[in-house]
Amino acid sequence: MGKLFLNCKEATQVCNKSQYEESSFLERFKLKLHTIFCSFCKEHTKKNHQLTNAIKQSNITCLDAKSKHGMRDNVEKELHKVLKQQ
Amino acid sequence: MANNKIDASKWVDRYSDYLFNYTITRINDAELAKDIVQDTFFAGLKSMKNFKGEASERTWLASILKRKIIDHYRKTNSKKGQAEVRMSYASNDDETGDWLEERVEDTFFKNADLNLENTELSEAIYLCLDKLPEKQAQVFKMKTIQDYDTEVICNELNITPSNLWVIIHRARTALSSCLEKNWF
Repeated sequence: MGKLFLNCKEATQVCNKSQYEESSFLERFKLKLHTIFCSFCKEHTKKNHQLTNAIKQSNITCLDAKSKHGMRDNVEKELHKVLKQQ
Repeated sequence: MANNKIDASKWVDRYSDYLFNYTITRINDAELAKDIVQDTFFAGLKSMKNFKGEASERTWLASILKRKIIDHYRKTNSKKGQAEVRMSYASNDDETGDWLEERVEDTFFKNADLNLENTELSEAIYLCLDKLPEKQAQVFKMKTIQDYDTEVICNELNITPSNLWVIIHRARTALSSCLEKNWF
């Protein structure tokens, strides 16, 4: 992205990346510049940040792949047993 | 098979994250939470034929889980009750207890409301995630909750980075509007 002005698609891309701290300073600057004259992207950026904050705040967790795998195997085995009994 | 409403082989993929998240916010021990979730699935399998299809599978499994969590607290509390040592430092004289420790501000109660809200928020997020296509939800969870690197996810799921960002974008947009309706 050599140019200074981003189109909306590029701006969205930068916005998404910056939610995961994967955007460069220059990219963020270009996004800022874009949102000065694009109200759609401005609104979208705001909402995207809001979502990131909500997720951080919620302390949401999920299972790691390994335990999920183990669980899946156990359920599978148990399911076979149950089906046999029926 | 008698009950075509239930697809137990998909349970872990569909509900284990939600149930685990639900448990861990109530029982602060990951290993124990895993065991309880596993027990919930087993109990669900055993009573599969009683499932009437009045509620969704998720709600049904969650109601089993709630019982399991209550059972857990009952068990531990009855053990603890037997071994508890009660200290009554104020009862000897007229002097009431005036320990320094008690004058410290109780931050637990201050944060209690906030914690409760966060617990509900994470459940609201899961309910919204549930409405996404499975693939989107999976990628979003890996990227956002488990903090995997883009490369790792791409390798594991065999997609390109630009694929990933498109999926992430769709997931985020959908989640954002879902949460807006149900939470913000």
